[in-house]
Amino acid sequence: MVLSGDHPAYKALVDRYQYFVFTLAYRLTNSREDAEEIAQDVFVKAFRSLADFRYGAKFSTWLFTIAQNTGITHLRKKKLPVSSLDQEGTFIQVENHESDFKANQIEDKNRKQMVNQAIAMLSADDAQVITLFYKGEQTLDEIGQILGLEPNAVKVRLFRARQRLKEKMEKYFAEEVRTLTVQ
Amino acid sequence: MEPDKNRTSLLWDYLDGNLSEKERLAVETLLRTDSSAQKEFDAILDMNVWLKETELEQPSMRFSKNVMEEVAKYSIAPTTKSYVNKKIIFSIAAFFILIISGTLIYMFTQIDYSAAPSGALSVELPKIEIDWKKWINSTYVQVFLMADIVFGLMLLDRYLSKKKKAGLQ
Repeated sequence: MVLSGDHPAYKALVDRYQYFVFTLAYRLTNSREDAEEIAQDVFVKAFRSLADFRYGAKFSTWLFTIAQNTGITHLRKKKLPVSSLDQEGTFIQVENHESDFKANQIEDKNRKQMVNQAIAMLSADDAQVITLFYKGEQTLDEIGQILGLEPNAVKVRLFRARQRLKEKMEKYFAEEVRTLTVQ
Repeated sequence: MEPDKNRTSLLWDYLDGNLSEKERLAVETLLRTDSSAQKEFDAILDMNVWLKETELEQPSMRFSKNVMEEVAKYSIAPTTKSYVNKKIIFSIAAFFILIISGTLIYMFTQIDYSAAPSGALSVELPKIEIDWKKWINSTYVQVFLMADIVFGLMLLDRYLSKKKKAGLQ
């Protein structure tokens, strides 16, 4: 039904995947406004390209690939840097982000929020791979398809992202982590 | 003390189910015998649970409505495959085959078989003799170039009229 262009059926897909696509875009841009623009663009592009979707393929992987490409294109158009820890400049960006958090102090010590805040401190590459793996229910192969990487490279990136996340949590949420671990 | 990176990586792989049977058993033995490894694995387990429990960001309330309003303006585009005209592919292939065949024919007719060392080739090969001067002369070249220019102008005209039509629509 969806593939034949049925709008109500497509709306059901939008409802189902909107949070994830928005989160992916948000992890890439760190701006709700840009993320919403990208996410909307993703769903329009996906609708227009439904004829290219292969039967039997995983819809989420196909959709997230569109999301990834649209996000990167959006950043290039806006000439925003794709934050990556492999790039020298990003260290400064991340450090600034961290100092903001330090200054503001985290009021809500909720565990989910704490982890989300720690993820927000990561580079876009790290945050994306973690989001795809844990929330997108994608395998390493599928993440490889989305990001245009070999599964082994995804595995390495995921490992490094988890390590960096752990470091952030230990550095900025040490007390919360201790409390949660004791529980 | 900084935990061993290889061990950490191995523990994550164990948790993700990326290890072979042999490696899996080795990790299980390590966890039973090494308390520091067990402690590190517990921390990894905690983090894994926390990561699974994270919540997704929420777009604005009107998001899906905005999307559907935008989607309503479009229809599904034809498949990418249909954009590719098979005639163009065949024409390109024919062009290259023609060029390659022409080059080979020209090459073979230029070989002087009598120059081969005696006894090396006992079979008498048929002599291909083409008088290229008859075919490649200024008249034929000029005709060929003129035909190319006319063909090019026809294509340009077709392209421009198509563009004009698209602009008017």
